[in-house]
Amino acid sequence: MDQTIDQTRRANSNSNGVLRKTLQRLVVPVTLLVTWELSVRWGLFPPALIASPSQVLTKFFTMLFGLQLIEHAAISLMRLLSGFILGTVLGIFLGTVVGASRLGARLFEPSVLSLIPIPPIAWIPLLIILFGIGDASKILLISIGSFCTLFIHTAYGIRSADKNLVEVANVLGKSRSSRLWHILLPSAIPNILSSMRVAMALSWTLLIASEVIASSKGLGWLIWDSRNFSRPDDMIVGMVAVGILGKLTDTLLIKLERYLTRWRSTYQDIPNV
Amino acid sequence: MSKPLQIDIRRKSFHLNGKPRQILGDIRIDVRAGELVALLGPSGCGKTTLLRSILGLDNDYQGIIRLGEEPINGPGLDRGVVFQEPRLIPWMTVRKNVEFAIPEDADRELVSHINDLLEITGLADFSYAYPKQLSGGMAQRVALARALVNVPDLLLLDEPFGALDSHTRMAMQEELLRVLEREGTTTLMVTHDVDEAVFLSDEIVVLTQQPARIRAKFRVNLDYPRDRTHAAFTHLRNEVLKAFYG
Repeated sequence: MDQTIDQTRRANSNSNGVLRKTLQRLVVPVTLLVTWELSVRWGLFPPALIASPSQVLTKFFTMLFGLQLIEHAAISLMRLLSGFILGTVLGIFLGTVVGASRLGARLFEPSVLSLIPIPPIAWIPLLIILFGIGDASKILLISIGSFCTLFIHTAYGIRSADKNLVEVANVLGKSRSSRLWHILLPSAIPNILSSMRVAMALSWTLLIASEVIASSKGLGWLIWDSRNFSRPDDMIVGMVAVGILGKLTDTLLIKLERYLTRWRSTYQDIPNV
Repeated sequence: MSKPLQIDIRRKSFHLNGKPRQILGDIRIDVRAGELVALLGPSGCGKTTLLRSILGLDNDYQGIIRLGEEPINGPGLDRGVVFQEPRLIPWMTVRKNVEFAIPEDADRELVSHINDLLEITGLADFSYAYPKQLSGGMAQRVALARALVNVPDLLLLDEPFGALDSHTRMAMQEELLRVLEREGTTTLMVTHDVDEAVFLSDEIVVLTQQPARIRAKFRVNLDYPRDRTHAAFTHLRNEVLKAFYG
């Protein structure tokens, strides 16, 4: 009986706690939004340059149901994912070759390492000269960023595999390919997945940068073009859309990471810290 | 089936900071087929080096090691090993860890051997658990099942229970005897626990400080299951302790 009462009390205090924590989380965003709304309404900013949150929200749904927003987002996502997947696959592949084989490291590592310090943005003019201002140069720019990130972390992840486990594979007489598939690559998975998140964030940056510079469609172009034509509500709608989609791609990668590293025992597994 | 092990090492040296350093001296040990021999030695005396040579991971020594008729030149599935740490592969379930030891072209019979081993080591209910979900004793039982799944001619144990608490250790010793009685595998066990050596083995070999040489050998003629409090047991333990520390 006592136990039941105790449990109820704990459950009550828990639900109170949830409510309190939710309110705490809302304090800063609500304050910011209200301040922004009021400062536009009271004329602190010229309305031709800045739109209020309520105007942005209205415009967001108008553009969403009018399908313009969907069209821009679809084109941007196509460029983003093509570049990200291309760069990631190549980065993991070459990172594995370099991390797992000394010959591979001698062949490829010096060249790749000398390209990595060049910021991807610096590639834009060359890519436009080589591939024009179409989708190809944007996709390649994004893939360069993802490739460099994944290459470094895959090679590092494989090299830092536990020596004791490699020894187990040797004692069991495993072939090189079995050792690679069952020991080395799985060891690198936590590094690969967390660097995919970094690469995805970089991909968004490079996508917007390339769309701002040369484009006639896409979210980056929407943001830039709206600014040029003094449509502050459209401009901020573009920014919000990028934010939402960026959050979405990151969440998907987090879910993938959780699933693929469920065998790990980490700080995160300790409840209520 | 189980084979005898013949160790006949004359000398083994390492280069440490450019200077040669002798790790192993004259070591001759015969382990009869199906018997368990315990190697007792002070820590750092070269026991692990000796085990690595028997595993074929380190072939740079003077002398010869034979398993049955064949000299050992490299790693092979005719030897199973349990290290001091379980060394389970963290992304494989218990069952997959044991299965991983089986070569891809092996007989189907070995697969049913997995079930037997998981059953007798009490792991059947944990087949699909990940290593992070296991206690130290359970993890070491998985390592034992993995070492035995290919039905090796020789089982090597490198202080396998050294990291466990004394209660779990005693339970694991009894478990090991039960498993070995079933499998009949020739076993060489490295330990620094005199009690464990007397409880488990048919013969005890005491090694000296580095470079390791044989200081004494004891034949353990006590019936299983052994009683740690029995006079004959304690008498032998005291003799071994004297040889160990004397």
